[in-house]
Amino acid sequence: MNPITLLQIELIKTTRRTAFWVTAGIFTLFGILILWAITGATGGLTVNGQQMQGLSLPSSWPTLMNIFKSFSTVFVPVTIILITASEFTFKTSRQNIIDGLSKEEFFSAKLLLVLFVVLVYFLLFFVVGFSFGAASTNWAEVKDPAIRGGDAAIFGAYLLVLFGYGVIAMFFSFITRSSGAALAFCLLYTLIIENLAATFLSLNETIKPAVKYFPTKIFDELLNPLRYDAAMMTQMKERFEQAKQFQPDLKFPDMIDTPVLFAIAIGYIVAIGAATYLVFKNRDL
Amino acid sequence: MDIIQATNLTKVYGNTKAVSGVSFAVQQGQIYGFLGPNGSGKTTTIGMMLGIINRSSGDIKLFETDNLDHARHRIGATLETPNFYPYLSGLDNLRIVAKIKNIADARIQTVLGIVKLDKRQKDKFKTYSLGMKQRLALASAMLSNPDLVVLDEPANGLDPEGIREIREIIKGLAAEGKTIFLSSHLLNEVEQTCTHVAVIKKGELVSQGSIREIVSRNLVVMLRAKDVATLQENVARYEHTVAATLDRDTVVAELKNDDLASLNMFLSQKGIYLSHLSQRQQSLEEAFMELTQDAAQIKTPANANMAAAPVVTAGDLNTSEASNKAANK
Repeated sequence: MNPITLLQIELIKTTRRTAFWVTAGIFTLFGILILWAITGATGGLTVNGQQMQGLSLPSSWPTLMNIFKSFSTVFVPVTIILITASEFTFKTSRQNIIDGLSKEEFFSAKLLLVLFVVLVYFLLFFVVGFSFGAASTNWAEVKDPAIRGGDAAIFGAYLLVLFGYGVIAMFFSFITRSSGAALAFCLLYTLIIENLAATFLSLNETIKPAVKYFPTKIFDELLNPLRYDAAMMTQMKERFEQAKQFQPDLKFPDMIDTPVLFAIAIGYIVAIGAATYLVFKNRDL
Repeated sequence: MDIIQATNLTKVYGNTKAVSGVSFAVQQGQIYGFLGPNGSGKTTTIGMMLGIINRSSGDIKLFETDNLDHARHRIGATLETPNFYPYLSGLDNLRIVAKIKNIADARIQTVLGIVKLDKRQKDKFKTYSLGMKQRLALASAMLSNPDLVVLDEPANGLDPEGIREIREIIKGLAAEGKTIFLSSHLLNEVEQTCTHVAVIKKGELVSQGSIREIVSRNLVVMLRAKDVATLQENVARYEHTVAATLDRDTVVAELKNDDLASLNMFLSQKGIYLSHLSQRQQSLEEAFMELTQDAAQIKTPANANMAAAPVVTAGDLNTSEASNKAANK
């Protein structure tokens, strides 16, 4: 079956689901409220005694991405789980296979669903971010267009990370076959277990370097705004050098190269996807 | 042509054999009933047949191919309860099935008309009554005009009117020459609808064949005498008796052969004078009960040590099969 038909099937299931629109609506509201708090109502946020810069475009795309990351990585998995795990609760996954889908096609359809949900949340991020960014920008002073060619890496990283979280959510949905359990395990893993493991393993100097290669650490690092904002990186390094005068043994943190991060993230997505598929393939429906 | 050919299907869960070495074949045009008590392995067998439950061992061929992904395109099937998206309308649920089966949307209206759901097609599935849900499942199974229809308990939970409607739809499918594989607890329905049956018990196939073969294995006789308790005990001791139960003033016995004279002689030798002896064909329900229950559960405890009784002569003999078939209905 061709991917377009698979996507059409998933769109019928998804777009008529109230939960999909409710989560997307709450996500948009969250984005608007947070950006409104930063740019308008409070007169801008103060961090470490310094007034935060406005969300002037195009330089603020990394910051916008970083702001949205904090809740996108919860909303995307929640949406995926609500739609995917219910296929097992309703036993419609079984019926879809009986009706003629192969297990490969069903799994592919779910990957397309993850992609669709990620694109929807990316679009919401883009529209809300652009609206606030454009409103904060003094276009008379800005020479660059609102989106520069170099911003493709930012958007690519954001899409990849959301897709990664979506695949993790899909994994837990297929493993637990229950929305509640999948939500609990997914949030527990991404928000607590991996951080706890990282904390404990960091106590061991030998293992510590490996901690930054954990899946969500890789995804988070991929969205580190410093990677995409040369000015911010320069500023950070200058501050670091100043601090080093008082504490000479300070070392600027090792950063994995961005292309390597992309490769590792893709590797994790493929591995988690493959594990999900194998579980689905070998279990009875 | 074998539409379904199952060979030694086995499913093991841990230490439990849910299905053990089940083999059967369903030919084109047959209406094949698959019977068994709850937990006997019916749904697991159908699941393996459809490729949604992985087999521990054994082979399954549908339309003479073991590529079940390919074969499923020629099948319309429902398993256990109707499984649809509760938040979608009946129409949207069928749209999904139509997309999977690559069927034009126009066909949806045809099958909705057949199952009389056309007026409720835009209502959400979760608002449907059980009967409507079952009818939607049938519509879904019929959507691609399949060569094989597999129905697992299609009349489950329905009222008599709903059962009658489902029976009519199945008969309609049969009239079109479809091969139908039907699992049901409603033995009367199966007897009226199916041409062949297989009976599964504790994961093993205990009998299969045409309905005629299954029900004609044993002869059912009804006997009356003055002392019905003694009659029952002695009938149970007769060597060709499979089961002897008491139904008010009548002993109903299943016999392995049809030599009623021999039975009459045996009883008269025990000093029992029959006031009534008639025979009728065993119903599918009786055959099913006999096949799926342990012999001890069916056969009334006979007094094996009873002393021989004096020889007597049989009384009224009535072997009208036709009249008893009518009574059975």
